[in-house]
Formats: sequence, structure tokens, C-alpha cells
Amino acid sequence: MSLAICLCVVGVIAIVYIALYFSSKGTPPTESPADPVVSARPVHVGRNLLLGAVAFVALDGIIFHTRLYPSILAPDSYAGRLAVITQAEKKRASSGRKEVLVLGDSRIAEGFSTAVADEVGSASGLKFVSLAEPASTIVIWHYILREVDPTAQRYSAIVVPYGIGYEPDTAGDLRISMAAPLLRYGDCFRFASAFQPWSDWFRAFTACILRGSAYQSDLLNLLQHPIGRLGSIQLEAARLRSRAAYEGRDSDIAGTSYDPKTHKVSFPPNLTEAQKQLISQSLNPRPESEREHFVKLQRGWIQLIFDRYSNSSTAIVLTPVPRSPFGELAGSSVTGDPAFPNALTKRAAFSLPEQTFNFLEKPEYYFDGYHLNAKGRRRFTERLVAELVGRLQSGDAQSRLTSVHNYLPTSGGQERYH
Amino acid sequence: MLFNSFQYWIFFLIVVVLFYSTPFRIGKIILLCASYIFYMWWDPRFIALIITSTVVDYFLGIWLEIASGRRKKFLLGISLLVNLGILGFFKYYDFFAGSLASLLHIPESSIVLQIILPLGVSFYTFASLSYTIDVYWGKMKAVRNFIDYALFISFFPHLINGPIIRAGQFLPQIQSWRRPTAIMVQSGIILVLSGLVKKMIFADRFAVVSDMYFNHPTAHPGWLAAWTGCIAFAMQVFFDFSGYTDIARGCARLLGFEFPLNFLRPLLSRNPREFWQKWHMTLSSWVRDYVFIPLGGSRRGSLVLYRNLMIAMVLVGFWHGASWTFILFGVYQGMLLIGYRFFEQATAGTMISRIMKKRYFVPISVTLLFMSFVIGMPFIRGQNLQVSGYVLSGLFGFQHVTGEFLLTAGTLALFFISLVLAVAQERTQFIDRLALQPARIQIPAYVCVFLALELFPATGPVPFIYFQF
Repeated sequence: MSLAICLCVVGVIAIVYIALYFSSKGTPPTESPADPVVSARPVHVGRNLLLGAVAFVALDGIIFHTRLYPSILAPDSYAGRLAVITQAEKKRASSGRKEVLVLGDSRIAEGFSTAVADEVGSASGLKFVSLAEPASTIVIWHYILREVDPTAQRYSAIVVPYGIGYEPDTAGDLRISMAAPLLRYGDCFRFASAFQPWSDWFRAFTACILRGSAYQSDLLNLLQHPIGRLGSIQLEAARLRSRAAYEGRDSDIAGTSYDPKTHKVSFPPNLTEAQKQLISQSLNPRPESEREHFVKLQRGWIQLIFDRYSNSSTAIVLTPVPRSPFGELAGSSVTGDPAFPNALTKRAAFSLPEQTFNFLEKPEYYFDGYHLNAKGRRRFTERLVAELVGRLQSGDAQSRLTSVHNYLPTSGGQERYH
Repeated sequence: MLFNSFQYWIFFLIVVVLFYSTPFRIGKIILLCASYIFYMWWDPRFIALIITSTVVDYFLGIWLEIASGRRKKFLLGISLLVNLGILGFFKYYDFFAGSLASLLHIPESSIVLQIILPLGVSFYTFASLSYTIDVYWGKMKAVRNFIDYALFISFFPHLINGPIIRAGQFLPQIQSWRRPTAIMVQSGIILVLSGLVKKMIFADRFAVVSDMYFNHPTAHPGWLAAWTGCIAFAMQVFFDFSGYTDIARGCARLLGFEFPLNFLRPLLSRNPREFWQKWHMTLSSWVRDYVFIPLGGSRRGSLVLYRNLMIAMVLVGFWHGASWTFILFGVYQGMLLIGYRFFEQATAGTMISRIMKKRYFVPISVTLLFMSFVIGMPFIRGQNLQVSGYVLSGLFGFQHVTGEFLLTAGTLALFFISLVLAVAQERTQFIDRLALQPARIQIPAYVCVFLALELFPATGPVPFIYFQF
């Protein structure tokens, strides 16, 4: 090892020496040669610049808008994982049963098990597919649906979670790069509209046109570890299988208590400092502006999903997710927001009441401040599937067409579910 | 508005369109207004300082031309007082007050005013001073057109970060302005792109390493960490400032103006004298012409020469920032220059001198000069004397720890790419010649630059480092 380092150092010194040796012909200049003012041949500034720009956009398109680069994205990155699972889902042959697609962020990725769901729902002829991905939002789910279900006829039902997410607004860069494999040139204005600070809006807009800009860190990583990347890509299939076999985490935070009045939280002795920190973090109230933006985003993009499936037999199912190990925290409820249900009045859909999973909002079902553990995962899945089966099997077309507005609880928390 | 922000390029596009769609006499006014808007974008309050300096020096210039004797000296004194007064108060008051407070053991808060440093004050006061001094010396005639003079002081490409323009270089260009030729436009675009690559790819990536080290130097003890942190900062400073200068020169050229060169591959210099002929050339030539030569230059014997060199370099250091670390940077550079003169005289005609002139010795000279430059970095980047001292003790191994190698594979690659490009440019001037190349070379070059700017910039617009000076 030390010999290799010595050889490297010698090599570096040799390169530097040779380079500098070649730079040193004659007396060093202290004045730059005058810049050219006239040219012997005609100069086409605009033409060359324009052609350069066109060639650049075309090259970016060939490399990054086709499957060329997305196929070598780091499979363990957000963008890479999303590219892999959407491609796998696109290629997956139909099961012949009624397929239910479950979307969501990490709370659903940790909380929903397709294995358990299939076990519970198989008798009803349902097959569950999960494309829940950590850090994804309603914006990304919209593009996932466009990618995996281009005809809007593939699934019997699509489960879309609602409620306040926990990724901060500052995660703009992450979301842009994550969505990049699913974006098209025509998405620039709509996709950019989902981002709040002007700089994020601009980056999102650019990512749709020049998709390479969204892969900067991935490309650097590839250049630094090209062999590691190839090895990692070869392990993709195994990773997909392990994703299906994932059963959730066994640990829990039982014994943790929180007093919303005093904002005091007490921990059992078995929790690590990192766990304690994460739980405390989850209890911080979200800034009002962030919450408003989140609600606005859900309102607009759920509407887009509804519009996409407006002429389809696919049922859109809005489901709440368990909010925290300590029940409702300040600002964690979304349905009380007067803006939220108004957007949903046109499209018929199921919506599960916000209280559906309140029974899971206990520390023994969580492994941190946000995510359900294996026990919670099983119970969440069982309950969700039971709710779905009941409604999907009723076959009551009229009830399907009932406005989701009627299903949503009022701000007072009183259920108006029929 | 940063040169590396989208905002600036929208602004610049609007200015270009308005400027070229009107006759030049109106275009000048548009450029002046644009320059003031550009400055006020940062903080509108400080526009009053530029206008004050402009108005005072404009009238003083005219009076200086017709005055003589003691009255002339008095008028020059007013110009010096106003410009150095602005610079002294806004840039140096807090430093002197703080130093006085610690000397007298009184609380700093009682005399320190926490003054905000107006952007570009060091650049435009020096530009303005050069005008009145040149008129005083009779080197140039006073300008009668106020718009011309105001545009010289506040022309936005050089306003906040240089290069330091002299009236004699810029005013004639206003008075006999001509539309730039196609080749000038082409080379202007190439300069802008080269500046953006230097800033967004090279400087900002080296900044990640240097920030990691200098923000918490005690977290990275040892000589290896110190050297790699300082090398990263040296590269950052060079690429940042020379990138800014390239963009400024390119923008000016696109508007039909020519700015002087400010950097000529200084990190390939073989000795300190050559380094200062190639590094921040407009500042070093300003100090040479207005400080070093008036003090007697090298005409009055070795001792006076050494004194003058030291004064000039301390001034250069102090110009960069109001702190003891910058003064020490100046002292250090002065010592290098004086030491090199001593060495040169002592070895003249000897075998050492002959060997040093050999081509095979050049890489060693360049490396030694680069290392001496790197050793000066703790003075510029260290927040105070303690930090600078700590980093220096790391550089010289006094901490008795090896430390970690902070340069990443990416920054190492950039280091070697920059070395190869600098050597190629030194030998062939391939970047300068690009504007003359046919489309089959230019278009792929544009594509490569656009791709590099798309794929490899550090995240988000990072301010230019010389803004703080």
C-alpha cells in the first residue's frame, strides 16, 4: 500500500515536472498577446453560438433524456431507485388479477407491505403493487403514474396518501433530481410550479429541458467510482427482490411519551441519542408557510391525478397515514384546511377518513418519530386492505362516484363518512 | 447581482439590447443608469458614495487642469481626502478603532461602529484617484463630459470587483467608441464562458475543500490537512478572481470596451517579481505608478528600494482587507520580493544563477513560487491572527500530526486539468485564438463548455471572493 502511494506521488511529481518543463520555453511573457480584432475569414458569431447551443441541447437530450444515462444512475440514489422501480413496473407483466397500486413516501414505504396485502387481499382477487419511495411527494407520484400507466387503464385502484409530509421545503434539489428520470420537455412549467423559492423554480424548469443539470452529483459520483457504480448496477435485480421481501424494522420506541401542552418529551433508556434527536425533531411544528405550500401542492396535484383518470375505470383512493407516535401534532392535519377539500369536488373517489389509522399512533408501532415498525406495518397494511376490499368489492358504482368531498372529515374532526 | 447568476444575464441582455438599439450618446446614459441599478441591487444606500466621489473628482479634475502651484496641490489634497476618506472610513475605521480599543484596554463596542463595507469601494476609489492624480501630473486632460466621467467610475462590469481601470485607458474609448467587430464579440463571448468555467467549476469546487478546512481548522490538525486546505484556497482565490475578471472583460468587450488584462497565468511564475507582474496586474501597476515610483522606486539605492517595496506590498495587503492578517500578508510578500532581490544579487554570475536559468530548473522554481504563495494563504483566509497562526503552525509541521488529505479526487483532477490548460495556454494561447477558429472547432468547443457548465458547477451561485475586498 505504501509502495503504491509512493509510486503515485512520484508519478504526480513527474507529471507536474514535465508539464511545467513544457510551459517554460524562452522568456516568460509578462504581457498577453493582443486579442484579435479582425479576422481573415468571415466570422459568424450568432450562427456558431446558436449551433453550439442547439448541439448542446441535442447532446443533453441524447444522453440524459433517453435511457442512456438513466440506466446507469446510482441505484441507491433517490433518482436511481425511482428510475429502477418505475422501469421494473413498466416491464412487469400483468398478474391477471385486479391490481392496486400504492403510492407514497417513506411512511408508506415503511408502513405498507405488499406481501401482507396480497395475503389479506388475495381472496378478493386483488394484487397489490407498491411504488412508495422515500422523499417522494404528490408531484413525483403524478409522474410515476404517467410513466407506469400511460393508458390510465392498468390498475383497478390507485392508493394516494394525503396529509402533511415531513420533508422540508429545502429539499428542492433532492426532489428535482429524484423526478428527473420521469420528466419530459413539456413538463417544464407545470413541474417548476411545484417549487417555491424562485431559485428552485428555475432549477426545476431547467431540469426538464437540460436534464443533465439534475444529475450533477450522480455524474460526479460516477466519475469518482466508475467500477463501484457498475458493480452496484449489476446488483439491481437482487435489490428489487429484497425490496419485495422487506418486512419492516423490529425496533420500537415504546416508553416514549410526549406532553403537547408543555412540549416535553421523555425517552426510555434503551433509545440511542440519534433516535432521541430524530423523535425530538419530528415534534417541531412545521412553519406555517411550509404547511400552506404543502396543502396547496396536494390540492393541485391530486386534482391532476383525478383529471388524468377522469375517463378511466380506475378508482383513486385517498388514504391518510398515521401522523405520529403521539397522535395529532400541531399542523399535522390537512383535511381541516378549508382549501384542501374544495379542489377535490369534481372527481369521484374513495377517501378513507383521517381517523382510520388513529389506533396506530402509539410509540410501540413506530421505530422513530415518523415511521411505522414491522408490527405497525402489518397492522397498517391489514387495515388499509380491509378498507379497500370492502369498498372495491361493493361494486356500487354510485358510491364510487360520490364526491370525495363528502367523505372528508370537517375541520372539527367530526366524520361525515357515509 | 452576481455574474454567475441567471438574474445578471437577464439584466445584461436587456442592457445590450437597449444599448445597441439607441445612438451612442443615449447608449452612454443607458449604460450609466444600468450601472447604478446594478450597484443599487445590492444596497441602494451606498450609491450616494459613488455619486459623491464622481461629482467631487469630476469638478476637481477640471479645476486641477487650470490651477497651478499650491492651489493645484490643495485641490489634489481634497481629492485624496475625499476618496481616501470614504475608503478609510467605510473600510478601515472599525479596524483602527478596534485596534485602539484593545491598545487602550477599553471596550470595543464603545468606539467600533460595525460599518457595512460598501461593495467595490476599494476598486472605484482607486480608479477615481488615478484620474485626479493623472490630471495633476499633466498626464491627461480633464474630462468635460460628466456622463463620460461618471460612466468611467461606475461602468458595471468593473464596478464592484475590478479590474482597476485607469481614466487614460477608458475615457478615450468612450470618446471614440465604435461598434465592436464580429471577432471582438466572438472573443468577448469566449472570455465570458471561460470566466464562468473558472468560477463555477474550478473556484467553487476548490471552495468546498478550503471552506471545510478554514471554517474549522482545529478540527483538521496536521501538516497534510493544512497544506491541502491552503492549496485549495490558493486555487480558489486564483480561479475566482481571474474568472470574475474574464467575465468583466468579456461583458465590456461585448459592449465595445476593452479592459486591461488582470491575470496572466501567475501560478506559473518563476519568482516573486514575475508573480506580481502577472497577478492582479491592475492593482500592482496602480501601486507601482502611484506609490512605488513616487517614493523613489529603485532609483535611490538598495535600502530605499527595499523600503519602497515593503511599503508597496503592505499597501497591497492592506488594500485587500482591514485586518492585521492582511497587513502581515503584505509584509510577507514584501519580504519575498526583497529576499528574492537579495538572492538574485548574491548569486549573480555564479553557477546557481546559471542553473536557475536552465529550462530543467523551471519546474522547481515554479513549484517553489507556488508553495510560497500557498504559505501566504493563512493570512488572507484566516479570520484572525490566531487562526492564521494555527494554520501556519500546521503548514510547518509544528503540530506533530500528519493530518488528513483534504483534496478530493474531483479537486485533484481539477488541479491537473488546470495545470494542463495553463501550460497549453502559455505555449499556444489556444483560448485567445479560439475566436479565429473555424466553426468545426468553435462549435464543439461551445458544446464542451456548455456541458461542463451544466454538469459540473458547484450548487447554487456562490459570491465572488474578492467582493469582501
